[in-house]
Amino acid sequence: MIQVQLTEISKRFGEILAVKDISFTAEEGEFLTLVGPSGCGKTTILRLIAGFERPDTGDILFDGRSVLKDPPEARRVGMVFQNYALFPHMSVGGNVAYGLRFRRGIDRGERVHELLQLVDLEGLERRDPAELSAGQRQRVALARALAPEPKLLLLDEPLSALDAKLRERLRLEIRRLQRRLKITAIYVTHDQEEALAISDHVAVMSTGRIEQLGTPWEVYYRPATEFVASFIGHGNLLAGVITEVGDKVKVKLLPEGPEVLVRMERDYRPGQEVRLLLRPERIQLNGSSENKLHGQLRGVEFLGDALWAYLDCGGDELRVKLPALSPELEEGQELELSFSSQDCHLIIPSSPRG
Amino acid sequence: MALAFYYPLLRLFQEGVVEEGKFTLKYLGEVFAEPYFRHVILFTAEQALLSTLLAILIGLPWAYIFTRYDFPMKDTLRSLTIVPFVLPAITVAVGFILFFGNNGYLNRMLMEVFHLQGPPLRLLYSLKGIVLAHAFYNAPIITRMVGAQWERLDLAYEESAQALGAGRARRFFGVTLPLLLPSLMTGAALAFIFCFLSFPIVLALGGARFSTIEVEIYTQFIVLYHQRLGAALAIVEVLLSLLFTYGYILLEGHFTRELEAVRPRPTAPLLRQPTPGRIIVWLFIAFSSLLFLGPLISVLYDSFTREWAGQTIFTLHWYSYIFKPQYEALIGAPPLRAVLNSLQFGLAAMGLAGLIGLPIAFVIARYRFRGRRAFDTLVMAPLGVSSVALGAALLTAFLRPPLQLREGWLAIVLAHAILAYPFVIRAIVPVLEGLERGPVEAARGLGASRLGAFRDIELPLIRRGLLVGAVFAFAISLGEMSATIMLARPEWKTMPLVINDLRAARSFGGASAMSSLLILVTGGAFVVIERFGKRLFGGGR
Repeated sequence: MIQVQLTEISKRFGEILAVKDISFTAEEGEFLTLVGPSGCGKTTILRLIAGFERPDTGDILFDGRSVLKDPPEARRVGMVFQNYALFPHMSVGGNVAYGLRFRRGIDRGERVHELLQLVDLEGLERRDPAELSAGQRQRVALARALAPEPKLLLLDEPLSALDAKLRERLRLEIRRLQRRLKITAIYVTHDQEEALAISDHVAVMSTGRIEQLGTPWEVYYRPATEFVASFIGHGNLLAGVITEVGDKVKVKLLPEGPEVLVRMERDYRPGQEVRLLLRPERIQLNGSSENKLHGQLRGVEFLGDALWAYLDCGGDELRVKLPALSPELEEGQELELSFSSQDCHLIIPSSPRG
Repeated sequence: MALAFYYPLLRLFQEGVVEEGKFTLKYLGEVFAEPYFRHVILFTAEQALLSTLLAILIGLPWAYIFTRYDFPMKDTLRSLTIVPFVLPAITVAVGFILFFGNNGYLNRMLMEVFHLQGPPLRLLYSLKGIVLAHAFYNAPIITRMVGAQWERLDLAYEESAQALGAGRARRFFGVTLPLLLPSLMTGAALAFIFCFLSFPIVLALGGARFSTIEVEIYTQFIVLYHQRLGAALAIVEVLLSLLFTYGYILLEGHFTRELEAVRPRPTAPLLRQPTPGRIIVWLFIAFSSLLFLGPLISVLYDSFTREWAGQTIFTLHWYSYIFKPQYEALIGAPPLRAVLNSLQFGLAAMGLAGLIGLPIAFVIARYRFRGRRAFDTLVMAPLGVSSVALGAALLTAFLRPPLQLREGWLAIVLAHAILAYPFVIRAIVPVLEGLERGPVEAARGLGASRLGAFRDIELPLIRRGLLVGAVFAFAISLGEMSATIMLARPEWKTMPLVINDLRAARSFGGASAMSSLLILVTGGAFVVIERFGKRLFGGGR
């Protein structure tokens, strides 16, 4: 279990600046996830930590000690690759045992058995990786990475090739395993739901930068930027302008919406342009919360456990998540919605970056 | 590499333009001034061009047949198109003499059937014979390259042309042919280079009157001892062939793109009730079978038969002859010695080609650097340099002072390795490129050093490519004659040289037996290559 610290790391590939001045710390035993759209630099960061790439600037510290000069094999990092990267010419057991060749004092047979047990693949030692299902291969890759008792586990989109159900089950298993082994883990995914489900902390990335680093709750309900708000979860981002600042903030929705009350978070000035983030599931049909909104129903999607309702409220289309057993709704119907000031979050639009 | 290939070439060039320490253009001038040499150079180009055209004429219809029809053994036949890369040319030459010769099986059969007095076909020892034999060699290359692209051509192109109202001919010339042009051009360029540099076939089938640059270098060097003139000729040839090869590499790089078929093309069974189209196809297949199978079957048949008191009898005499350990005057050495030499040189050349090819393949597949293109070209240059000139170069460099090799036969091994290692590279690079970096990085993450990861992961994973490359190298060494003939003393003679000697002495039984043996071994090599080699030389399946 180690603490991993990146300070002002940049990495350029030819013309492309893949990683721009990134700093963060993953504490001992923490599960940190880098999430963002493809090409945002998250995999590059992982490869920098593992030692497969060298940063142009900045430093990488394991427990306060720089590892930049260490080749990958000296860093004692376990890595799980997107396509598993199992050795096709070795059996399952051979794959798991490979890393033990370079560690002394471990009974290989026993350790392999122990790990396969850990990932629920007992008895498959002699199988060929090609004979396994995708989920089983993923487990072998995990067992292989964990076998030499690494101090740090890096996972690069380990579940992206699996179907949705299996993905959910395996992410739970990975999380439990990480807790049990008390190993620091850095996880890369483009799937925001996975990131929220599995992590202690989430770093949301875009074009080589970290937009926000926080707990899953923070990045979901208190996103720092418009990008985070739109990338994580489904959000309604409504344009507005602050009219009054008091115990609560009064925001006039643009272009012709009502004024709504918003929880006071930091110093706001009247006249400031803002984006109001309203999560679809925090809006009720009718209801008694302090903010009211009227709109015309444009369409409904049935999801099974809930409904998506799309409403025209004058400005942008509003998306609302309603219980599946909501009263009959008809297109064109006028609806009254309400939401609490506590569930509103304001984002100050940043000026476009140069 | 530099020492083995570029130094000898330099020495050869030096031989051609430096006399007694002074630079001279005398010999180069002679090459261009003498009408005879001008004729030789033009004839070389002429026969190469005609051969390429005939190869296209035969190869293109075959590509069509592969694309359009289904027939038994189609896959086997398709795999056979790689044979020209491994079949020793001298065995083909012997087959052509036996089959198409004035007293050959074909003429004898025709005389029998039509009760003729003289042979109706006089093909050999003329341009016709050379062109025909070259077509035998190069038509499969055309078929292989064009067929691979044709089968992957999306039907939608033709169908949209059809929907727009284009007829059959317009569809072919307006849509299909232009789309096939890249592969056709690449294949034709390759065929042209092979024909331009062909030596054993011209030597054996050209007779005294028809000589190409390649044959002329040999004549000047070995027969007439005009080394400086030979060197000057070699300079001209090397420059020309490097130019062609560079053109080929440009073509290949320019045209290489993957056309993935969205829908597989429908094929029709070939063996059904005759339609005019099918009858034409059948006739074509019959005619080309004559060309392809005739010579090979003749060699096999001839190796087991002997004329005895006006009767043809079956015998193993020729096989016991070629394994004879006693001195044989026609050859100037015991025949068995040549067989052993071939095996020994083959194994040594295989090892050496692997040692040269593997690191280069690794660099090409793994690293991106400035000047990579130039590196590729330099490394692949031996493919485009004539073997006779290479032999002459090695002769000049290593069998004469100041760098005279103590063990002269090493020069032969070196020549074979140089000619073979580009094939090793071509066999390994695609496999290496197909390897993802994941497993190697995974190994390193688990504690393996870079070298350890190569040993544990990459090496086992490319062993198929390595095997194919090794077999290729062995087969090339076994069949190589052009460079060897320049370097070999009697006691270093190899099987192809013995075949050539016996052919020149018109003792065809022994030549056939040894040719059959070579065909068998190289045929075995071909099986290995097709089983394990992936998509070599545009032959994707």
